Amino acid sequence: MTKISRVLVANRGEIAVRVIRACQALGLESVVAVSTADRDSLAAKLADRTVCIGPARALDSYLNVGAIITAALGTGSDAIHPGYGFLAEQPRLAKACHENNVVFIGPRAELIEKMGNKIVARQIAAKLGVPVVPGSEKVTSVQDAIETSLTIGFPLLLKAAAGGGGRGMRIVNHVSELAAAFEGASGEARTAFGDDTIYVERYIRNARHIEVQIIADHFGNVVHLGERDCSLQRRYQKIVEESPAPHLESLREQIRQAATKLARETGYQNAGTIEFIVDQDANRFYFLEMNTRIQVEHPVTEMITGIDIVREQILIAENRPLSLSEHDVHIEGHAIECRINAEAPEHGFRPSPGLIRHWRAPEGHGVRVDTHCYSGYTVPPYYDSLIAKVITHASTRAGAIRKMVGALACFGVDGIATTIPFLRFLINQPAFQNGKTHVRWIEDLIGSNPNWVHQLEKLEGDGHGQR
Amino acid sequence: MELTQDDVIRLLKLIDESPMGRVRLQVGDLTLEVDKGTSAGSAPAIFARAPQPAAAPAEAARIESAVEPIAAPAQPAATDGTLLTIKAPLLGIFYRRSQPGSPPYVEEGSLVEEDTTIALIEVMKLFNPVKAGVKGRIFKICVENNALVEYEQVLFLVKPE
Repeated sequence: MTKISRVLVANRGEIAVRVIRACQALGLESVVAVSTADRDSLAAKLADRTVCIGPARALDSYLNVGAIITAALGTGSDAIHPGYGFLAEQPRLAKACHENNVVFIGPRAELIEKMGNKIVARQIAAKLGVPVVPGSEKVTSVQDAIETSLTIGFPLLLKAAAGGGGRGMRIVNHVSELAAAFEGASGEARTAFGDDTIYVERYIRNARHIEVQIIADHFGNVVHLGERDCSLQRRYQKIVEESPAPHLESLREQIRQAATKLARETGYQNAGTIEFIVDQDANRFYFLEMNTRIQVEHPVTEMITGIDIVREQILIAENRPLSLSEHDVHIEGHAIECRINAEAPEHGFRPSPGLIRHWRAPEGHGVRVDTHCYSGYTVPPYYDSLIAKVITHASTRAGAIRKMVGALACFGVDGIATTIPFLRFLINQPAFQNGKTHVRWIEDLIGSNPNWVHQLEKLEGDGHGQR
Repeated sequence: MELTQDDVIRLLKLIDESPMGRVRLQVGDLTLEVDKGTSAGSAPAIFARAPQPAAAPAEAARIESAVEPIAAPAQPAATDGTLLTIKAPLLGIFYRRSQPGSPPYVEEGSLVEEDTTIALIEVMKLFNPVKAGVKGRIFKICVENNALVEYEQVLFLVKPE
């Protein structure tokens, strides 16, 4: 066992606060690395010590491996928690930790590299007999893509091997669109990830995004903590997540087992999530990709299992065997999470940074809010727009929905625009309430409904504490 | 109440880390005015008027601050001492000398030009020279050798000449 006493939190926003709270619960000291823009952040107020690692620009601060490692060494931190995003899935931070004798709270660098490459991950899954989306290895030219399309058929998806978050992705409906889509996808991938490798997948129209939370120690023990349904997305960004996934009866156990098998056979360590696509028309599931870090939506899993995943990450990083087995995991009730962004939905989801004059988050039994915001906080313009996550938990899905309706109705934010009205609009939809959605549902809903903004305004009029 | 030079350094650090753009502090006979300056080119200016030799009765410190940064950096007054800060351009380990055993780049009182290397900051075995950026005399070395310095941490106070 390698005792960890002091953790350097190499991230910002709500996840930095989350990690600091987990450290506090374990009696560990926390040091938070901040850019100049985050000196007044909630994480900076909560941590035992704050270290300014660079200017606002992420490349010079949160993506600066040298500064982060040196900050850890210089503050006597034994471990670094990378959060999600930024360097969490960059093997170079994990590698630098290893080289400098700092514990990386996450999997080994080699696992991050392997599973982070989508083509390699697909190959590994296929070899283990886990179904993968019908698709190709890398396609190096438009000609290559055209040939592949003959086997896979249309519509198809061009995807970046080094990618994520929807960048470097193009849906192609017809062979005539392929050349332009290929140039677009590879160009975007080159800019965003420094790697223009593209591969092809069949595009599944009526799809759900189902992912399984895994935790694994360094001794080969792997436990799954159930699955999450993250089908509600807009431009490939998740907006609402829930657990357990509704209406998944026949596939649920198979998906959980496939994920556990993949984690076990790859020697996975620490927390991770394995993502699948479920073709609702064919009632089949396929491996999509693996995320080798804690995810934004981890709270829904925590609410239904009662397990603190960040705490488990730290204990695993200390080289302890998992304190629980699959038998010990009890999934109870239903949890839903809504991500709240500083964006104006009525203006094309335009970012809305600025001063929060008044912040009043909901509370109550089965209501959890993960946030870094507070009254008087200025949301900086340099980073992503996530300002809070509202999670509700109840013994039934309907109960969790009712709590969410109530929680969103009394969430008051003055001074900036937020997506709270949009979330209230989504939760109110019959399709959501019946659990009959899919990954294109949000886009179809607002695409087909030009008056949706007016419906937001109507809801806002009924709500309390909005502006 | 008298403030020592170290008190002044600590106050400067606090002011530096705060969002205040301009601060005027009066403690007894000592008046300290700090203007952080807004653009990358303008150097922050500090005025310190030393207390009279006779001990003054203890007085509560008054801090007047303006949240809006001033558009133009304040001009140094002829009779006042003006100190400029040299801040760390990056986070790392601070070294006063090029290697162990060599003389330090500067001492308090050393004359420097814009181009003079006054320290090194190391990040994972990469040594980055810190240049004075100003012509003057080192007034105070604010950091210890081998210490971790944060981005924009005050390293030196310089009296421009």
